Amino acid sequence: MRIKFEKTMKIASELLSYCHRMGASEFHLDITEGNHAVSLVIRAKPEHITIEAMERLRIALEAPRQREIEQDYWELMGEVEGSSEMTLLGMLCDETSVVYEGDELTITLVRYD
Amino acid sequence: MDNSSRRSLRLPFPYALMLAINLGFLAFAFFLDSPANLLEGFITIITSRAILVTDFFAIGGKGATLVNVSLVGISSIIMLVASKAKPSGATIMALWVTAGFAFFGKNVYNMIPLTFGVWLFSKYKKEPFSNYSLASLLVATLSPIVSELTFLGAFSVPVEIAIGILSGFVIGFIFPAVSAHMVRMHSGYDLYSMGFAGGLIALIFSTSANSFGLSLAPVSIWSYGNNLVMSIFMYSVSLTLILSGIFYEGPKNAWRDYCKFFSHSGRLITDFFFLYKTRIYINMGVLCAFATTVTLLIGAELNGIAAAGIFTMVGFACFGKHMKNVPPILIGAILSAYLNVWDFTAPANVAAILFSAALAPIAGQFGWLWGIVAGFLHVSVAMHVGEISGGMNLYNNGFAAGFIAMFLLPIITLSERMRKRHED
Repeated sequence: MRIKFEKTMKIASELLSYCHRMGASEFHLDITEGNHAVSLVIRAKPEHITIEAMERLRIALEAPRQREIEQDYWELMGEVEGSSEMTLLGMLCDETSVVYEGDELTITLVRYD
Repeated sequence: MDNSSRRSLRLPFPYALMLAINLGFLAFAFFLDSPANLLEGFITIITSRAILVTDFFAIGGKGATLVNVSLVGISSIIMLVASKAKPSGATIMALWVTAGFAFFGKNVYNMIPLTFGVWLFSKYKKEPFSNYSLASLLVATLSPIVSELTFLGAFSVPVEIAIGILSGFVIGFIFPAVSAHMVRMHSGYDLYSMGFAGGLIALIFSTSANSFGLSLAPVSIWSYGNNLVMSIFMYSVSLTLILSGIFYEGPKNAWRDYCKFFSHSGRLITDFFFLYKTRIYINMGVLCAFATTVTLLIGAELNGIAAAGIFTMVGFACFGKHMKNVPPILIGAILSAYLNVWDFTAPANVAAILFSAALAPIAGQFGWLWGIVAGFLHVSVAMHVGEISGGMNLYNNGFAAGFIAMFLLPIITLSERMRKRHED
Protein backbone atom coordinates (compact mmCIF):
# COMPACT_ATOMS: atom_id res chain seq x y z
CA MET A 1 0.00 0.00 0.00
CA ARG A 2 2.85 2.37 0.80
CA ILE A 3 4.44 1.78 -2.60
CA LYS A 4 1.09 2.35 -4.28
CA PHE A 5 0.75 5.70 -2.54
CA GLU A 6 4.35 6.65 -3.36
CA LYS A 7 3.65 5.97 -7.02
CA THR A 8 0.57 8.17 -6.86
CA MET A 9 2.64 10.94 -5.27
CA LYS A 10 5.25 10.65 -8.01
CA ILE A 11 2.60 10.84 -10.72
CA ALA A 12 1.10 13.90 -9.04
CA SER A 13 4.55 15.46 -8.86
CA GLU A 14 5.12 14.83 -12.57
CA LEU A 15 1.75 16.40 -13.45
CA LEU A 16 2.44 19.48 -11.32
CA SER A 17 5.92 19.76 -12.78
CA TYR A 18 4.56 19.58 -16.35
CA CYS A 19 1.95 22.28 -15.75
CA HIS A 20 4.55 24.48 -14.05
CA ARG A 21 6.87 24.12 -17.04
CA MET A 22 4.01 25.19 -19.27
CA GLY A 23 3.72 28.41 -17.31
CA ALA A 24 0.83 27.64 -14.97
CA SER A 25 0.91 29.32 -11.59
CA GLU A 26 -2.35 28.00 -10.21
CA PHE A 27 -3.14 24.28 -9.96
CA HIS A 28 -6.07 22.20 -8.79
CA LEU A 29 -5.24 18.56 -8.19
CA ASP A 30 -7.79 15.94 -7.17
CA ILE A 31 -6.67 12.47 -6.15
CA THR A 32 -9.24 9.76 -5.52
CA GLU A 33 -8.16 6.38 -4.20
CA GLY A 34 -10.64 3.54 -4.56
CA ASN A 35 -10.32 -0.13 -3.75
CA HIS A 36 -8.82 -1.12 -7.06
CA ALA A 37 -8.03 2.15 -8.79
CA VAL A 38 -6.66 5.61 -8.26
CA SER A 39 -7.55 8.62 -10.35
CA LEU A 40 -5.76 11.94 -10.64
CA VAL A 41 -7.24 15.05 -12.22
CA ILE A 42 -5.22 18.23 -12.59
CA ARG A 43 -6.60 21.53 -13.81
CA ALA A 44 -4.29 24.40 -14.62
CA LYS A 45 -4.03 27.49 -16.82
CA PRO A 46 -0.71 27.13 -18.66
CA GLU A 47 0.49 30.37 -20.19
CA HIS A 48 2.89 29.03 -22.79
CA ILE A 49 1.41 25.80 -24.00
CA THR A 50 1.39 25.40 -27.78
CA ILE A 51 -0.66 23.19 -30.09
CA GLU A 52 2.50 21.15 -30.76
CA ALA A 53 3.13 20.69 -27.02
CA MET A 54 -0.48 19.59 -26.54
CA GLU A 55 -0.12 17.08 -29.36
CA ARG A 56 3.14 15.73 -27.90
CA LEU A 57 1.47 15.41 -24.51
CA ARG A 58 -1.51 13.60 -25.97
CA ILE A 59 0.69 11.13 -27.89
CA ALA A 60 2.91 10.53 -24.86
CA LEU A 61 -0.02 9.81 -22.58
CA GLU A 62 -1.53 7.45 -25.14
CA ALA A 63 1.31 5.01 -24.42
CA PRO A 64 -0.32 1.76 -23.34
CA ARG A 65 0.07 0.59 -19.73
CA GLN A 66 3.34 -1.30 -19.49
CA ARG A 67 3.53 -3.19 -16.24
CA GLU A 68 6.80 -4.71 -17.52
CA ILE A 69 8.67 -1.45 -17.01
CA GLU A 70 6.82 -0.13 -13.98
CA GLN A 71 8.92 -1.88 -11.36
CA ASP A 72 12.18 -0.77 -12.93
CA TYR A 73 11.50 2.82 -13.86
CA TRP A 74 8.62 4.30 -11.85
CA GLU A 75 11.03 6.07 -9.54
CA LEU A 76 12.15 8.22 -12.45
CA MET A 77 8.96 10.25 -12.36
CA GLY A 78 9.21 13.79 -11.14
CA GLU A 79 13.00 13.59 -11.13
CA VAL A 80 14.22 15.84 -13.87
CA GLU A 81 14.08 19.56 -14.11
CA GLY A 82 13.04 20.75 -17.57
CA SER A 83 12.26 17.35 -19.00
CA SER A 84 9.08 16.82 -20.89
CA GLU A 85 9.12 13.04 -21.08
CA MET A 86 5.53 12.18 -20.30
CA THR A 87 5.55 8.79 -22.00
CA LEU A 88 6.45 7.11 -18.73
CA LEU A 89 3.38 8.64 -17.18
CA GLY A 90 1.25 7.15 -19.97
CA MET A 91 2.87 3.76 -19.44
CA LEU A 92 1.93 3.78 -15.77
CA CYS A 93 -1.75 4.57 -16.40
CA ASP A 94 -4.63 2.60 -17.85
CA GLU A 95 -6.79 5.53 -18.93
CA THR A 96 -5.73 9.06 -19.79
CA SER A 97 -7.39 12.12 -21.23
CA VAL A 98 -6.21 15.60 -22.12
CA VAL A 99 -8.72 18.42 -22.59
CA TYR A 100 -7.92 22.04 -23.33
CA GLU A 101 -10.96 24.30 -23.13
CA GLY A 102 -10.91 28.03 -22.90
CA ASP A 103 -7.55 28.59 -21.30
CA GLU A 104 -7.77 25.64 -18.92
CA LEU A 105 -5.89 22.38 -19.34
CA THR A 106 -7.38 19.29 -17.69
CA ILE A 107 -5.39 16.06 -17.52
CA THR A 108 -7.09 12.96 -16.14
CA LEU A 109 -5.21 9.76 -15.33
CA VAL A 110 -6.58 6.47 -14.00
CA ARG A 111 -4.49 3.56 -12.70
CA TYR A 112 -5.96 0.18 -11.90
CA ASP A 113 -4.25 -2.16 -9.43
CA MET B 1 -6.87 -26.75 -34.58
CA ASP B 2 -9.48 -24.11 -33.71
CA ASN B 3 -8.96 -20.38 -34.01
CA SER B 4 -8.36 -19.74 -30.34
CA SER B 5 -5.54 -22.24 -30.03
CA ARG B 6 -4.02 -20.88 -33.24
CA ARG B 7 -4.07 -17.40 -31.71
CA SER B 8 -2.40 -18.60 -28.55
CA LEU B 9 0.52 -20.00 -30.57
CA ARG B 10 1.10 -16.81 -32.52
CA LEU B 11 4.37 -15.15 -31.61
CA PRO B 12 4.34 -11.33 -31.61
CA PHE B 13 6.34 -10.02 -34.58
CA PRO B 14 9.29 -8.56 -32.59
CA TYR B 15 9.78 -11.88 -30.79
CA ALA B 16 9.33 -13.89 -34.00
CA LEU B 17 11.93 -11.78 -35.79
CA MET B 18 14.35 -12.10 -32.88
CA LEU B 19 13.81 -15.87 -32.88
CA ALA B 20 14.52 -16.02 -36.62
CA ILE B 21 17.68 -13.92 -36.17
CA ASN B 22 18.87 -16.21 -33.36
CA LEU B 23 18.23 -19.27 -35.49
CA GLY B 24 20.26 -17.52 -38.19
CA PHE B 25 23.14 -17.18 -35.69
CA LEU B 26 22.89 -20.91 -34.99
CA ALA B 27 22.98 -21.74 -38.68
CA PHE B 28 25.99 -19.43 -39.14
CA ALA B 29 27.75 -21.24 -36.27
CA PHE B 30 27.37 -24.57 -38.10
CA PHE B 31 28.70 -22.90 -41.24
CA LEU B 32 31.81 -21.74 -39.33
CA ASP B 33 32.70 -24.94 -37.48
CA SER B 34 32.08 -28.68 -37.24
CA PRO B 35 29.48 -29.99 -34.74
CA ALA B 36 32.22 -31.68 -32.67
CA ASN B 37 34.19 -28.43 -32.38
CA LEU B 38 31.04 -26.49 -31.59
CA LEU B 39 30.20 -28.87 -28.75
CA GLU B 40 33.71 -28.80 -27.35
CA GLY B 41 33.85 -25.00 -27.55
CA PHE B 42 30.40 -24.64 -26.02
CA ILE B 43 31.36 -26.84 -23.04
CA THR B 44 34.48 -24.70 -22.57
CA ILE B 45 32.31 -21.57 -22.52
CA ILE B 46 29.80 -23.02 -20.08
CA THR B 47 32.53 -24.15 -17.69
CA SER B 48 34.60 -20.96 -17.87
CA ARG B 49 34.88 -18.45 -15.02
CA ALA B 50 33.22 -15.92 -17.34
CA ILE B 51 34.71 -13.09 -15.31
CA LEU B 52 35.23 -9.69 -16.99
CA VAL B 53 36.77 -9.84 -19.59
CA THR B 54 36.53 -13.36 -20.96
CA ASP B 55 36.04 -13.11 -24.70
CA PHE B 56 34.26 -16.33 -25.65
CA PHE B 57 35.74 -16.12 -29.18
CA ALA B 58 39.15 -16.66 -27.55
CA ILE B 59 38.24 -19.62 -25.35
CA GLY B 60 35.52 -21.39 -27.35
CA GLY B 61 35.89 -20.16 -30.90
CA LYS B 62 33.56 -18.07 -33.05
CA GLY B 63 31.16 -20.90 -33.88
CA ALA B 64 30.66 -22.06 -30.29
CA THR B 65 30.21 -18.45 -29.18
CA LEU B 66 27.45 -18.01 -31.74
CA VAL B 67 25.82 -21.20 -30.43
CA ASN B 68 25.93 -19.63 -26.96
CA VAL B 69 24.53 -16.32 -28.25
CA SER B 70 21.75 -18.15 -30.04
CA LEU B 71 20.82 -20.33 -27.04
CA VAL B 72 20.86 -17.38 -24.64
CA GLY B 73 18.73 -15.41 -27.11
CA ILE B 74 16.22 -18.21 -27.65
CA SER B 75 15.89 -19.00 -23.94
CA SER B 76 15.29 -15.29 -23.26
CA ILE B 77 12.52 -15.19 -25.87
CA ILE B 78 10.93 -18.32 -24.36
CA MET B 79 11.04 -16.67 -20.94
CA LEU B 80 9.36 -13.49 -22.17
CA VAL B 81 6.68 -15.41 -24.04
CA ALA B 82 6.06 -17.77 -21.12
CA SER B 83 5.72 -14.86 -18.71
CA LYS B 84 3.32 -13.14 -21.16
CA ALA B 85 5.49 -10.02 -21.34
CA LYS B 86 4.25 -7.80 -24.14
CA PRO B 87 6.71 -6.62 -26.79
CA SER B 88 7.92 -3.10 -26.11
CA GLY B 89 11.03 -1.04 -26.71
CA ALA B 90 12.27 -2.23 -23.34
CA THR B 91 11.75 -5.94 -23.92
CA ILE B 92 13.25 -5.81 -27.44
CA MET B 93 16.23 -3.93 -26.02
CA ALA B 94 16.65 -6.51 -23.25
CA LEU B 95 16.69 -9.35 -25.79
CA TRP B 96 19.50 -7.75 -27.82
CA VAL B 97 21.54 -6.83 -24.75
CA THR B 98 21.17 -10.34 -23.33
CA ALA B 99 22.21 -11.92 -26.61
CA GLY B 100 25.07 -9.44 -27.01
CA PHE B 101 26.63 -10.23 -23.66
CA ALA B 102 26.61 -13.91 -24.56
CA PHE B 103 29.65 -13.03 -26.69
CA PHE B 104 31.51 -12.63 -23.41
CA GLY B 105 30.51 -13.51 -19.87
CA LYS B 106 26.92 -14.67 -20.13
CA ASN B 107 25.87 -18.25 -20.84
CA VAL B 108 22.85 -20.48 -20.36
CA TYR B 109 24.27 -21.87 -17.14
CA ASN B 110 25.18 -18.71 -15.28
CA MET B 111 22.10 -16.65 -16.20
CA ILE B 112 19.33 -19.08 -15.18
CA PRO B 113 19.87 -19.06 -11.37
CA LEU B 114 19.77 -15.26 -11.42
CA THR B 115 16.53 -15.24 -13.42
CA PHE B 116 15.07 -17.76 -10.99
CA GLY B 117 16.00 -15.44 -8.12
CA VAL B 118 14.01 -12.63 -9.77
CA TRP B 119 11.10 -15.07 -10.21
CA LEU B 120 11.25 -15.83 -6.47
CA PHE B 121 11.12 -12.10 -5.77
CA SER B 122 8.02 -11.72 -7.94
CA LYS B 123 6.37 -14.55 -5.98
CA TYR B 124 7.35 -12.89 -2.72
CA LYS B 125 5.79 -9.65 -3.93
CA LYS B 126 2.72 -11.57 -5.18
CA GLU B 127 3.03 -9.92 -8.58
CA PRO B 128 3.11 -11.46 -12.07
CA PHE B 129 6.58 -12.43 -13.23
CA SER B 130 6.02 -10.36 -16.39
CA ASN B 131 6.25 -7.22 -14.20
CA TYR B 132 9.86 -8.21 -13.63
CA SER B 133 10.69 -9.38 -17.14
CA LEU B 134 13.33 -6.69 -17.72
CA ALA B 135 15.12 -7.35 -14.45
CA SER B 136 14.92 -11.09 -15.05
CA LEU B 137 16.89 -10.73 -18.29
CA LEU B 138 19.24 -7.91 -17.37
CA VAL B 139 20.13 -9.35 -13.96
CA ALA B 140 22.51 -11.51 -15.98
CA THR B 141 24.93 -8.59 -15.72
CA LEU B 142 26.04 -10.42 -12.56
CA SER B 143 26.32 -13.86 -14.15
CA PRO B 144 30.13 -14.04 -13.62
CA ILE B 145 29.44 -14.39 -9.89
CA VAL B 146 27.59 -17.66 -10.52
CA SER B 147 30.38 -19.02 -12.72
CA GLU B 148 33.15 -17.78 -10.44
CA LEU B 149 31.67 -19.50 -7.38
CA THR B 150 30.84 -22.65 -9.33
CA PHE B 151 34.35 -23.07 -10.74
CA LEU B 152 36.25 -21.82 -7.75
CA GLY B 153 38.23 -25.05 -7.29
CA ALA B 154 38.12 -24.86 -3.47
CA PHE B 155 35.42 -27.46 -2.70
CA SER B 156 33.98 -30.58 -4.29
CA VAL B 157 32.12 -30.09 -7.59
CA PRO B 158 28.57 -30.65 -6.21
CA VAL B 159 29.21 -28.23 -3.32
CA GLU B 160 30.55 -25.57 -5.67
CA ILE B 161 27.62 -25.98 -8.07
CA ALA B 162 25.23 -25.60 -5.13
CA ILE B 163 27.09 -22.48 -3.91
CA GLY B 164 27.07 -20.98 -7.42
CA ILE B 165 23.39 -21.62 -8.00
CA LEU B 166 22.33 -20.46 -4.53
CA SER B 167 24.32 -17.26 -4.90
CA GLY B 168 22.45 -16.68 -8.17
CA PHE B 169 19.11 -17.09 -6.38
CA VAL B 170 20.08 -14.62 -3.66
CA ILE B 171 21.45 -12.00 -6.05
CA GLY B 172 18.46 -12.41 -8.38
CA PHE B 173 16.14 -11.93 -5.40
CA ILE B 174 17.66 -8.62 -4.31
CA PHE B 175 18.41 -7.23 -7.78
CA PRO B 176 14.94 -5.80 -8.68
CA ALA B 177 14.76 -3.76 -5.49
CA VAL B 178 18.30 -2.40 -5.86
CA SER B 179 17.96 -1.59 -9.57
CA ALA B 180 14.61 0.20 -9.13
CA HIS B 181 16.15 2.41 -6.49
CA MET B 182 19.37 3.15 -8.38
CA VAL B 183 17.58 4.61 -11.39
CA ARG B 184 16.89 7.77 -9.37
CA MET B 185 20.61 8.44 -8.92
CA HIS B 186 21.22 9.27 -12.58
CA SER B 187 17.71 10.52 -13.38
CA GLY B 188 17.44 8.28 -16.43
CA TYR B 189 20.54 9.65 -18.19
CA ASP B 190 22.40 6.33 -17.94
CA LEU B 191 20.65 4.03 -20.39
CA TYR B 192 22.42 0.98 -18.95
CA SER B 193 20.74 1.58 -15.63
CA MET B 194 20.78 -2.09 -14.65
CA GLY B 195 24.55 -2.05 -15.08
CA PHE B 196 24.74 0.70 -12.50
CA ALA B 197 22.79 -1.45 -10.03
CA GLY B 198 24.84 -4.50 -10.98
CA GLY B 199 28.03 -2.54 -10.40
CA LEU B 200 27.00 -1.67 -6.88
CA ILE B 201 26.11 -5.27 -6.03
CA ALA B 202 29.36 -6.52 -7.63
CA LEU B 203 31.34 -3.94 -5.70
CA ILE B 204 29.85 -5.08 -2.39
CA PHE B 205 30.29 -8.74 -3.32
CA SER B 206 33.87 -8.55 -4.57
CA THR B 207 35.18 -6.31 -1.80
CA SER B 208 33.54 -8.56 0.81
CA ALA B 209 34.97 -11.64 -0.87
CA ASN B 210 38.45 -10.09 -1.04
CA SER B 211 38.23 -9.07 2.63
CA PHE B 212 37.67 -12.68 3.62
CA GLY B 213 40.45 -14.14 1.53
CA LEU B 214 38.61 -15.02 -1.69
CA SER B 215 40.70 -13.20 -4.26
CA LEU B 216 38.67 -11.97 -7.22
CA ALA B 217 40.45 -10.11 -9.96
CA PRO B 218 39.43 -9.26 -13.53
CA VAL B 219 41.13 -11.10 -16.37
CA SER B 220 41.97 -10.00 -19.91
CA ILE B 221 41.22 -12.73 -22.42
CA TRP B 222 40.71 -11.24 -25.87
CA SER B 223 40.51 -12.65 -29.37
CA TYR B 224 42.08 -11.26 -32.52
CA GLY B 225 41.70 -11.71 -36.26
CA ASN B 226 37.92 -11.92 -36.53
CA ASN B 227 37.33 -8.77 -38.55
CA LEU B 228 36.40 -10.28 -41.91
CA VAL B 229 33.96 -12.86 -40.56
CA MET B 230 32.50 -10.49 -37.96
CA SER B 231 32.16 -7.64 -40.47
CA ILE B 232 30.13 -9.92 -42.73
CA PHE B 233 28.12 -11.04 -39.71
CA MET B 234 27.40 -7.53 -38.36
CA TYR B 235 26.55 -5.98 -41.73
CA SER B 236 24.26 -8.97 -42.40
CA VAL B 237 22.47 -8.29 -39.10
CA SER B 238 22.20 -4.62 -40.06
CA LEU B 239 20.80 -5.47 -43.50
CA THR B 240 18.35 -7.97 -42.00
CA LEU B 241 17.01 -5.31 -39.64
CA ILE B 242 16.67 -2.67 -42.35
CA LEU B 243 14.97 -5.14 -44.70
CA SER B 244 12.61 -6.16 -41.87
CA GLY B 245 11.63 -2.52 -41.44
CA ILE B 246 11.08 -2.16 -45.18
CA PHE B 247 9.18 -5.45 -45.34
CA TYR B 248 6.79 -4.47 -42.57
CA GLU B 249 6.35 -0.78 -43.37
CA GLY B 250 6.87 -0.73 -47.14
CA PRO B 251 9.80 0.99 -48.90
CA LYS B 252 8.33 4.49 -48.58
CA ASN B 253 6.86 4.28 -45.08
CA ALA B 254 9.92 2.63 -43.56
CA TRP B 255 12.06 5.79 -43.84
CA ARG B 256 9.16 8.16 -43.16
CA ASP B 257 9.57 10.01 -39.90
CA TYR B 258 13.14 8.71 -39.51
CA CYS B 259 14.26 12.24 -38.61
CA LYS B 260 11.57 12.32 -35.91
CA PHE B 261 13.71 9.93 -33.89
CA PHE B 262 16.15 12.82 -33.53
CA SER B 263 13.61 14.97 -31.69
CA HIS B 264 13.84 12.68 -28.64
CA SER B 265 16.52 13.17 -26.01
CA GLY B 266 16.57 9.42 -25.44
CA ARG B 267 16.33 9.74 -21.68
CA LEU B 268 14.71 6.79 -19.96
CA ILE B 269 11.90 6.04 -20.84
CA THR B 270 11.87 6.66 -24.58
CA ASP B 271 10.06 3.73 -26.10
CA PHE B 272 10.58 3.97 -29.86
CA PHE B 273 8.56 0.79 -30.43
CA PHE B 274 5.48 2.51 -29.01
CA LEU B 275 6.20 5.69 -30.98
CA TYR B 276 7.32 4.30 -34.34
CA LYS B 277 6.28 0.63 -34.36
CA THR B 278 8.28 -1.52 -36.81
CA ARG B 279 10.10 1.53 -38.18
CA ILE B 280 12.45 0.97 -35.24
CA TYR B 281 14.16 -1.70 -37.32
CA ILE B 282 15.48 1.00 -39.63
CA ASN B 283 17.02 2.83 -36.66
CA MET B 284 18.38 -0.46 -35.29
CA GLY B 285 19.91 -1.45 -38.64
CA VAL B 286 21.43 1.98 -39.18
CA LEU B 287 23.01 2.06 -35.71
CA CYS B 288 24.31 -1.49 -36.17
CA ALA B 289 26.07 -0.50 -39.39
CA PHE B 290 27.28 2.75 -37.81
CA ALA B 291 28.80 1.07 -34.73
CA THR B 292 30.45 -1.64 -36.87
CA THR B 293 31.88 0.95 -39.23
CA VAL B 294 33.23 3.08 -36.36
CA THR B 295 34.94 0.02 -34.87
CA LEU B 296 36.57 -0.82 -38.19
CA LEU B 297 37.52 2.79 -38.98
CA ILE B 298 39.43 3.24 -35.74
CA GLY B 299 41.32 0.07 -36.58
CA ALA B 300 39.93 -2.00 -33.70
CA GLU B 301 39.28 -5.71 -33.47
CA LEU B 302 35.72 -6.99 -33.87
CA ASN B 303 36.07 -9.35 -30.94
CA GLY B 304 33.47 -10.63 -28.48
CA ILE B 305 33.22 -7.44 -26.46
CA ALA B 306 32.99 -5.25 -29.57
CA ALA B 307 30.19 -7.53 -30.81
CA ALA B 308 28.43 -7.07 -27.46
CA GLY B 309 28.86 -3.31 -27.79
CA ILE B 310 27.32 -3.33 -31.24
CA PHE B 311 24.39 -5.55 -30.14
CA THR B 312 23.81 -3.21 -27.21
CA MET B 313 23.74 -0.30 -29.66
CA VAL B 314 21.15 -2.20 -31.71
CA GLY B 315 19.02 -2.97 -28.66
CA PHE B 316 18.94 0.58 -27.41
CA ALA B 317 18.06 1.83 -30.88
CA CYS B 318 14.49 1.01 -29.89
CA PHE B 319 14.89 2.50 -26.41
CA GLY B 320 16.54 5.90 -26.72
CA LYS B 321 19.53 5.88 -29.07
CA HIS B 322 19.60 7.41 -32.53
CA MET B 323 21.98 8.93 -35.03
CA LYS B 324 21.83 12.36 -33.41
CA ASN B 325 22.46 11.56 -29.74
CA VAL B 326 25.06 8.78 -30.20
CA PRO B 327 27.78 10.41 -32.39
CA PRO B 328 28.72 13.24 -29.95
CA ILE B 329 29.29 10.71 -27.17
CA LEU B 330 31.41 8.50 -29.43
CA ILE B 331 33.46 11.51 -30.60
CA GLY B 332 34.27 12.39 -26.98
CA ALA B 333 35.05 8.76 -26.16
CA ILE B 334 37.30 8.31 -29.21
CA LEU B 335 39.15 11.51 -28.36
CA SER B 336 39.65 10.30 -24.80
CA ALA B 337 40.85 6.87 -25.94
CA TYR B 338 43.28 8.51 -28.37
CA LEU B 339 44.79 10.76 -25.70
CA ASN B 340 44.85 8.41 -22.71
CA VAL B 341 47.78 6.25 -21.59
CA TRP B 342 46.49 3.01 -23.11
CA ASP B 343 46.91 1.83 -26.67
CA PHE B 344 44.18 3.52 -28.74
CA THR B 345 42.77 0.24 -30.03
CA ALA B 346 43.28 -1.73 -26.80
CA PRO B 347 40.15 -3.87 -26.42
CA ALA B 348 39.14 -2.19 -23.15
CA ASN B 349 39.45 1.24 -24.78
CA VAL B 350 37.32 0.10 -27.73
CA ALA B 351 34.74 -1.39 -25.38
CA ALA B 352 34.57 1.90 -23.46
CA ILE B 353 34.07 3.77 -26.76
CA LEU B 354 31.22 1.52 -27.95
CA PHE B 355 29.47 1.35 -24.58
CA SER B 356 29.89 5.07 -23.89
CA ALA B 357 26.64 5.53 -25.83
CA ALA B 358 24.92 4.71 -22.51
CA LEU B 359 25.16 8.48 -22.05
CA ALA B 360 23.44 9.34 -25.35
CA PRO B 361 20.55 11.09 -23.51
CA ILE B 362 23.00 13.74 -22.25
CA ALA B 363 23.81 14.68 -25.85
CA GLY B 364 20.12 14.41 -26.76
CA GLN B 365 18.99 16.68 -23.95
CA PHE B 366 21.84 19.15 -23.53
CA GLY B 367 23.54 19.20 -26.94
CA TRP B 368 26.67 18.04 -28.73
CA LEU B 369 29.19 19.77 -26.49
CA TRP B 370 27.99 18.16 -23.28
CA GLY B 371 27.74 14.88 -25.17
CA ILE B 372 31.40 15.09 -26.14
CA VAL B 373 32.36 15.93 -22.54
CA ALA B 374 30.32 12.97 -21.25
CA GLY B 375 31.91 10.56 -23.74
CA PHE B 376 35.38 11.86 -22.95
CA LEU B 377 35.00 11.37 -19.20
CA HIS B 378 33.27 8.03 -19.58
CA VAL B 379 36.30 6.24 -21.00
CA SER B 380 38.53 7.15 -18.04
CA VAL B 381 35.98 5.97 -15.49
CA ALA B 382 35.11 2.83 -17.43
CA MET B 383 38.78 1.84 -17.60
CA HIS B 384 38.93 1.70 -13.79
CA VAL B 385 35.56 0.62 -12.39
CA GLY B 386 35.94 -2.95 -13.62
CA GLU B 387 38.76 -3.33 -11.15
CA ILE B 388 36.75 -2.21 -8.11
CA SER B 389 33.84 -4.50 -8.94
CA GLY B 390 36.20 -7.43 -9.32
CA GLY B 391 35.18 -8.04 -12.94
CA MET B 392 31.86 -9.40 -11.70
CA ASN B 393 29.61 -6.86 -13.44
CA LEU B 394 29.30 -7.42 -17.18
CA TYR B 395 27.54 -4.08 -17.79
CA ASN B 396 30.60 -2.40 -16.35
CA ASN B 397 30.15 0.60 -18.65
CA GLY B 398 26.65 1.12 -17.26
CA PHE B 399 28.26 1.38 -13.83
CA ALA B 400 30.76 3.95 -15.13
CA ALA B 401 28.10 5.87 -17.07
CA GLY B 402 25.99 6.17 -13.91
CA PHE B 403 28.83 8.02 -12.16
CA ILE B 404 29.34 10.32 -15.14
CA ALA B 405 25.63 11.18 -15.25
CA MET B 406 25.55 11.80 -11.49
CA PHE B 407 28.64 14.02 -11.77
CA LEU B 408 27.66 15.96 -14.88
CA LEU B 409 23.95 16.60 -14.29
CA PRO B 410 24.36 19.13 -11.46
CA ILE B 411 27.12 20.88 -13.41
CA ILE B 412 25.04 21.02 -16.60
CA THR B 413 21.99 22.23 -14.68
CA LEU B 414 24.02 24.95 -12.99
CA SER B 415 25.59 25.98 -16.27
CA GLU B 416 22.19 26.12 -18.01
CA ARG B 417 20.78 28.26 -15.18
CA MET B 418 23.75 30.63 -15.37
CA ARG B 419 23.39 30.89 -19.13
CA LYS B 420 19.67 31.67 -18.86
CA ARG B 421 20.32 34.25 -16.15
CA HIS B 422 22.98 35.84 -18.32
CA GLU B 423 20.61 35.91 -21.32
CA ASP B 424 17.82 37.48 -19.22
